[in-house]
Amino acid sequence: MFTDAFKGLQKIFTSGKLRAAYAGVGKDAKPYAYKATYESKTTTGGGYGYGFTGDNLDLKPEFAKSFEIGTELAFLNNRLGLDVTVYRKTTTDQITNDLRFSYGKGYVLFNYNGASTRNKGIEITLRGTPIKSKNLNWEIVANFAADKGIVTALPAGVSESYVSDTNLYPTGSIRNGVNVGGSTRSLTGFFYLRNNDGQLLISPTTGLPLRSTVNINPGYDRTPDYSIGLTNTFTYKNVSLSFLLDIRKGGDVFNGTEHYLTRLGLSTLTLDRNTPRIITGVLQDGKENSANPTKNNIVITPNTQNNYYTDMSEELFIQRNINWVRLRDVILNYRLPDNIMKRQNFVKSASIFVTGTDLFLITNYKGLDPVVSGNTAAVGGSGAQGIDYGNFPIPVGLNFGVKVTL
Amino acid sequence: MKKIYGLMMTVCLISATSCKKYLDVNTNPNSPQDVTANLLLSPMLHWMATSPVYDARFISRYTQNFTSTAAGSTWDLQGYDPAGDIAGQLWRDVYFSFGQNLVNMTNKAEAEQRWDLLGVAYILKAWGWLQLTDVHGEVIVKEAFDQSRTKFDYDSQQIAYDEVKRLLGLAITNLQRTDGAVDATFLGKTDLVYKGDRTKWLKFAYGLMGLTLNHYSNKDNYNPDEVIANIDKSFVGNVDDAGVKYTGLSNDDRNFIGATRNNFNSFRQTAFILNLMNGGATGGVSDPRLSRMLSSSPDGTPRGVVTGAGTASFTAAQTPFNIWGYATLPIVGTPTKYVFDDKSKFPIMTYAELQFIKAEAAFRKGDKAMALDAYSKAIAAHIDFVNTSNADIGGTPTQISPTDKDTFVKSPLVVPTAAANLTLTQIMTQKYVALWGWGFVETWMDMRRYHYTDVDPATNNQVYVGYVFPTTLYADNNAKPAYRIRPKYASEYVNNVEALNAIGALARDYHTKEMWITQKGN
Repeated sequence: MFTDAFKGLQKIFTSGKLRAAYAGVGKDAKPYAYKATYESKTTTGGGYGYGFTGDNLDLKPEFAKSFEIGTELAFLNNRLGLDVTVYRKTTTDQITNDLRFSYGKGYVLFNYNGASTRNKGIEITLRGTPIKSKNLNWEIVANFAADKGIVTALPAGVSESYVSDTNLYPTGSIRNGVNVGGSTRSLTGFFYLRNNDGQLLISPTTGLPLRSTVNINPGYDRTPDYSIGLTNTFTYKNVSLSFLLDIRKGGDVFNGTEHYLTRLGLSTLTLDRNTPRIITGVLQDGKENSANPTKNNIVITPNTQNNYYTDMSEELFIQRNINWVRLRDVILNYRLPDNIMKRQNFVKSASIFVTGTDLFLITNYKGLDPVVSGNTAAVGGSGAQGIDYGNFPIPVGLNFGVKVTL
Repeated sequence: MKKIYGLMMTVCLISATSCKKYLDVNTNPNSPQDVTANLLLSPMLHWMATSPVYDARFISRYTQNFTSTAAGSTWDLQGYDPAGDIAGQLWRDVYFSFGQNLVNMTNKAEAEQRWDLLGVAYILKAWGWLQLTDVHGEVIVKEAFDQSRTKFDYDSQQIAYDEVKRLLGLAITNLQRTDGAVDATFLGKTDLVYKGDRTKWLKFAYGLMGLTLNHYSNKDNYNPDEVIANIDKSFVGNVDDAGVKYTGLSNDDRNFIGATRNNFNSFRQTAFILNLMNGGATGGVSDPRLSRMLSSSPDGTPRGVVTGAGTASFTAAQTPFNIWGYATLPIVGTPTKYVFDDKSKFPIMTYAELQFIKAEAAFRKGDKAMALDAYSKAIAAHIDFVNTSNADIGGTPTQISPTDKDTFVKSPLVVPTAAANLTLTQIMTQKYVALWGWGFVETWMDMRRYHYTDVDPATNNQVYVGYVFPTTLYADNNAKPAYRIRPKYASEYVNNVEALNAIGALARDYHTKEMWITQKGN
């Protein structure tokens, strides 16, 4: 509380705090995760057998060390406030669930310590009351948050760790896989092969681009650059109006629905199927990494060569740097005046309100709604946020209500 | 004051105990971490019968038991799926479904002196390695199930075969014992195959040993006498046949090749099997088993589909029915045939199979009289097997009458009257017929031992008479036939690549590399 130390500051500076914190927190594994358990089997004759997950008698809790510094400032009699927090968190011995090795080990999945991640971020909250009078008040609260997570190690030399449930796409390869050095929220899949200059490699026999046969990640990241939540509240006598704007900048979203429809020939992207085309890229003829790679010159007409669509990589449907502004909710509230309430003793206060949720969305995303997650949060890991496959957008909602306090 | 202290003490004690219980996150209250040894047996026996049938969707195409209704299907062309987790069921079941379950069952049975269960455990282990190496060649044996490892090196097929023989030796020693806690009731509770009968398992161990030793037919140290000696101690009739009778009530306990599981609806009998049974390969003598095993077509004439050709060229009236004998997938409860019913007793090893092995060993040894004797017993036994199988499921076919059976086994073109006239072709093709539709791995091993198209020098005929490869094989094959299936993709090609590289399994034509056991020499 440095404002206590410098009394003269208090005219402008109502109060000011500086914070610094260091914390070490252990986190345990899922219950019963260290030992394999038997399941009753439904094959002929019943009986018991091990489930997929094997033993790890050496499993220990993961450990997170975090350091943060922050400040809480209030100005002009608390009319203006600013909180800033900068943090850095490293997690070591992180428990990687559902890790896979050769079946030679006797089980399919394992829980291992050994992953490490590092998160850095900043959180800023700005509070202000531009208008404060007897009848009219206006309050603003703005939150800004930016966070980047990097995977710094994976256990036992595995190259990719993923949650298999996020591979929810039929015949697709895309999932929430992470690699050492990459984001904790990256995407991996059978993406296109490229030469050293980043040009697409094209098969000299089919004229179609070549895809990796293992999951790779050329740098796709579902983490947004930052997000902002802006709340405004107006109060005039008994009426109050508040609304929350949700703003996000950056972060990739996979439009699986469009990919699926394109493969089936149902997407409008396939309307030009009769137009012959040459896919821009270089032929994989041995010269692809030389100074003069052969430019692709093979003409394809998708209508007769269906694998133009059916072999399309999901990569083409990952939309980079998705931004949005959405009106999360609007609440209009009318509190019944005291002179009406005083006429009886039964109800202490009563109000009528109207709420609108997701009334508008402005975004550069071409699918339905970029806020999607293909799974519930229960899948663990970085989840399937940003994997849009058959998801419905958040519906526009309108609620009327009455609130009564007895 | 005292009262308050007393109260606090009580509260402390209660909270201490309850906390301890609450915090126990190691002992799972919902799933056991330890079970009685015999409870582990049933699932493994289920997979012993079932696992090869999963992979048969692919193996049966190489051996031309079945072929796809679509033309040019990859596996019909001796190909494989490079980046798919296909044909890896035996891999899954030997390493996972058996895996640590079998390790635990073995250890418990030994500690509790249950020699009969221990013997069965050794049989399962041996059977697993034999199937696995016969299908995949080099496999992980020595380092398997080592929990301290995350990478697993492959062992040569020779090591796998030595291990199979060692384990069968241990099985035989243990199954001969009657001391300790040997208990037919305890074993019988979960023994789906022999209901706890130790003596039958002993015969099984000898039979499997004979079968294993006969795979050495191309090797310098092949010993037909040993094969015959083991088989003579094994099954004495169909009553000893090993198999699992499926419950057939829900998905997981139904026959995998049964209609309801719907895994074989796009497959049809081949021209090759039809030719072996309709008289094409037997001088016009038609086999009474044909109508009980193979399917007809709408016009009433059974036909076979040429491997790789598909069914598009057939007229509607001539298109062969599916393996259950219908044009479309029959609904649950519709009578089917042979071992293809939801509730069939599905064979693991049969008396007829072992007699054919004895016949081949005796033939190679030069004792043609013994060979002919075993050969005719094998055919007769299999005809009975067909009748039993169809009767067991209330199948559509009628029983083969004793007269029809007699006519067939006495027909000199099938069973020669003079032992000197018996041929390798007869032994191997009749064995093929008897194992058609269930003995997939053994049939493929037989055909690879004769390199699919080897010629019998005594007759100048192909041993597998009528076996023809599709004109164009799968592109990666470089015109060579398939000799193995690549290890399970999700297990090995994703998580054990270094070890694969060491055995050359990353080559695109690895599946055409001939295995050690079928190569001539040592």
